Amino acid sequence: MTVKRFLLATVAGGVSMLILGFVANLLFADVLNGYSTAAADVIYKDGPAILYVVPGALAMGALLTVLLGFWTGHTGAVQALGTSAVFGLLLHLFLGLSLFGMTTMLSLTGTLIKVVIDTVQLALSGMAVGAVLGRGSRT
Amino acid sequence: MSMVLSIVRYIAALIAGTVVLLVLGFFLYAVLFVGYFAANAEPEAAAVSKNPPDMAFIYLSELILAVLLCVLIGGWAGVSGAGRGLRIGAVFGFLMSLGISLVFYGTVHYMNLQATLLDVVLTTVRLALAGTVIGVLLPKR
Repeated sequence: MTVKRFLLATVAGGVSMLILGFVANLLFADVLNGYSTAAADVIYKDGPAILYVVPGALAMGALLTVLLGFWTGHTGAVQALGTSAVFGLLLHLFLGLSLFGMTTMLSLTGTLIKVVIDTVQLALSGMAVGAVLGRGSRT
Repeated sequence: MSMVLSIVRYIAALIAGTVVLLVLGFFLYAVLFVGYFAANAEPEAAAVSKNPPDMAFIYLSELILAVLLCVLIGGWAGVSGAGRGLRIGAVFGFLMSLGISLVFYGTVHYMNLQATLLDVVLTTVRLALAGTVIGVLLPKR
């Protein structure tokens, strides 16, 4: 894999994570608020700090690129979608249950709903990464 | 290698990986750096912290993380051995922790930036060592 292809796939994954995160927040913020404690309101920042959220999304894009381009070789949108969905489910189950064990931010039901939302977000971002990597492997 | 032996090695890798994650997690977060993280927590974090933590869910989450490491190393990457396990665990731990921690820091008052970055380092070390143990125990490739 060339450096250019790696960077393109990373950016595609990072941008997808950001857009899908924004859309998910618009669609599901009220649903998830119904499962959060009143104390959780104080912990959210007034707005996302872009300076940290964008590099974070790019790191996730890089992780998806390494996963699909190096470890699994599952390039192409469809294959990448499936692999990223399994990866996302296990990753967000770990993160969600860990956070539930340590904080009262969300109830268990809210945690599991968020796992599903985050898994879809990661699966679709992986599909974007896989599409970029797949296009590269054919040229 | 027979199928039964292969399954036994996967189960051994899963159990050992979970134990390594839990022991290192306890040592790093509840012993070595407990004071540091307490001192560098945002004031708002106290409103949502469970004290004591719900350990059943922590154990379950670490088991799931070990499953993911086994799938990554032995399944998707299809490799074994200490060096390869360490490399995959370290890269996965670093990128995953950096991504999740920065987004968390950018949206939630929980830890300050220094503690957030230390958490990335500790997670990378923890997953690298768990990946090493898992790589050693997985069926040879």
